[in-house]
Amino acid sequence: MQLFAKLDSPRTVVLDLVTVLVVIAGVSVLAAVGSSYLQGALVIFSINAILVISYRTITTMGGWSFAHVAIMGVGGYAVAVLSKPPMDIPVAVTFALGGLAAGLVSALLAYPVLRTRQYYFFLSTFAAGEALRQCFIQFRQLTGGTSGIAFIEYPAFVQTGDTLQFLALVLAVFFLLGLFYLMFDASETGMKIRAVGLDETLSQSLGMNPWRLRALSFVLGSVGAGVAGGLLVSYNGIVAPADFSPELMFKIVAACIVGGTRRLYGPILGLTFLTIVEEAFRGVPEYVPFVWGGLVLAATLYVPNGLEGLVDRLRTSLVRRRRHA
Amino acid sequence: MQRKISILAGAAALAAASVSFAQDSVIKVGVVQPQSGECAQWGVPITRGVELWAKEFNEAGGIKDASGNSHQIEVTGYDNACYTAGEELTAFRRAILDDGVEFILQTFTPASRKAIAPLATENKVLTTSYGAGYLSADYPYLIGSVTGSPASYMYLVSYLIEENPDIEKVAIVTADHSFGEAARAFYKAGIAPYTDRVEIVFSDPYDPAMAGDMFSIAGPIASSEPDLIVELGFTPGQQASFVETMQQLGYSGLFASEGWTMNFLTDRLKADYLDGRIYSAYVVDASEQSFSPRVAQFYDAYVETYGQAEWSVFASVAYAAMTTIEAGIQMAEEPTGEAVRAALFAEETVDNPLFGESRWAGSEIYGADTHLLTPLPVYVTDAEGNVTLDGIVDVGAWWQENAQAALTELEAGGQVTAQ
Repeated sequence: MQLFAKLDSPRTVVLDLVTVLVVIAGVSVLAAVGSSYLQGALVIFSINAILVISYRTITTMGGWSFAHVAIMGVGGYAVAVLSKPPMDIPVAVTFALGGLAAGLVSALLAYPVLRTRQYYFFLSTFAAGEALRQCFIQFRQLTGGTSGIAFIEYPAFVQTGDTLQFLALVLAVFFLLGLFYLMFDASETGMKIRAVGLDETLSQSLGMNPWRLRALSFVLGSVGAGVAGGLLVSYNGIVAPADFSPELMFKIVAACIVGGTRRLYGPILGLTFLTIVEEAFRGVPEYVPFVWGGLVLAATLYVPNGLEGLVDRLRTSLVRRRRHA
Repeated sequence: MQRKISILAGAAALAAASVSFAQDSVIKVGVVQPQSGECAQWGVPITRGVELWAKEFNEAGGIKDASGNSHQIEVTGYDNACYTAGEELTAFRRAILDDGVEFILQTFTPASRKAIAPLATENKVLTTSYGAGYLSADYPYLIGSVTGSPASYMYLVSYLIEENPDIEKVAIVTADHSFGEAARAFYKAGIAPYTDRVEIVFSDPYDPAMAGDMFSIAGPIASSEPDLIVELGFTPGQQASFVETMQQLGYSGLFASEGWTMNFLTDRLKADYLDGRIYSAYVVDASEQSFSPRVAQFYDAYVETYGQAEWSVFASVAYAAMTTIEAGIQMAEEPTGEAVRAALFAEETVDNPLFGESRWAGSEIYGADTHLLTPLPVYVTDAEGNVTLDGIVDVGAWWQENAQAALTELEAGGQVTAQ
């Protein structure tokens, strides 16, 4: 806590920590009382929660990457390839290796894409993501081509088909990664990255190395995506290129726009909201893209800082009322 | 006396309750298909086909099982985006774990079938497709109801080569997708017995995202100067655009695909260009009235409900696929996935309501005889843009004669999963 107090506002850090714990508690309670389907949906939600908090780490450096889901695919494919013959590495170990593989690939991508800014960065990461997806398709001997790799197993310590046990694993990973991103965000390096995100030129004039800081943020965020990809393919039992599509990328970006990215709880709020919308409209799936698009537009126009901005406004008005009282 | 009356009343109430139970019992059927986006051009008519199949029984008081009990059929559509494996699995989780569905019609896309195989088998949900795609002895609840995708591609291209001795060059146009990959392998398997006289001049897959720029796809195909183009992966609208582009590039050969939505073609092209050149073979096309009176009635019902402009061959494909499940329900003591599966596989053949006696097969490709081989009608378009019956392939006989050559190509294309 001393480190947090020194480097960031203790209140916001605590709020982020509370968010991580609330997500874990909320998901656990729902899973305990919910149906098998709900438990499965919560696994996917929790994996997506890892994805959005790792994505948020990238956005702190001032760029919105569109390669995040493809990099998630790198982690997924690493788990599939390494856990199957002839490698036969234990699945639990491959989760970590998947994260490392995603980090490595993102480090290679960082060199060209981080030379761009604003919409050029968006376009270059989109192109990089598509290139990665093409690699999943074209390197058939390794990746299984468009059909992918099927029948990937759960880790040995999780009983096959036991969704609750798998959910516990995902929540444990979410907690560890959440804590890591939280501490990183609150550290001196994390603050410097946010400073670069706010004003790169000014940060450089203060002696910071923006490229290095941005690359670090890009790589660390990608490691989380790789781990999330590994968990997803193990849970689904299959990895295929189509699962790392621009549609999922749009969902992650939408969660960050609707929820906000200033704090860790923003994208989680956004993801929760979008997941509820998706479930509410499951009988009429053709309306989901329309509703999501509308929400993103509404958030951009009326709630520029997303739901977290709304929470902040509510909190401020409550404090003011108390003072007046 | 009073006690006797109350016992009688109780028995009557129980009987009434059981009768009411028998009548009110509902069979839940799921259709996992694209319900939104461009791929809904396939998914929506497929879902409608199953809904009309159910309506046919529901209006007649329900479908009767072997015990004589009638059951209403409730059909629910689930979205799988555009045949992506992860979304397929999510849809199956919803259907099975949340809605308690007992029977599901899904895509033949191998990746999607593999994704749901453990879940469907674990929950004993009988999961069929308008073809096979992927089957396995490890997953006995995955079946193929009819001769459709992707095997029909093999039979269709072979039929055309047999019937048109002038064909020397074939172009295979498929999407870079799991179902496109399967189609490519099966088209090649259909050409394999004729390699002494037929050459594959084009087989590069295209990126579906690039299908908006049809000239970039069609240009290299036209340059290879084929006599026959076999296609799989374009949506109905893109198919028409592709044929139109090939016409503009001077192509004058034959086209073949699983099916064509004629409204799109006749809107864009003159009848004389289409006359005798557009072939298809996909389970059954109900718009052609002579093959079976029952599918002809289905076509009329579809047109009456949705209008002629909404007609798509994919509706009749789904309808036909459900007739095997229908036969199973009628043979089973109760309409559960387990009982219907047992009834269907009690014999080596099934008397399909549309196609007659058909044999279970598939072990050489999939390691399991869980694909019902029904005869395959082949259709061609006439000068008025109508679909007419050109011939019927005896798929069992074809396979016996050509299995060796076909299996080599299927193996190379990664479609053989038999151990």
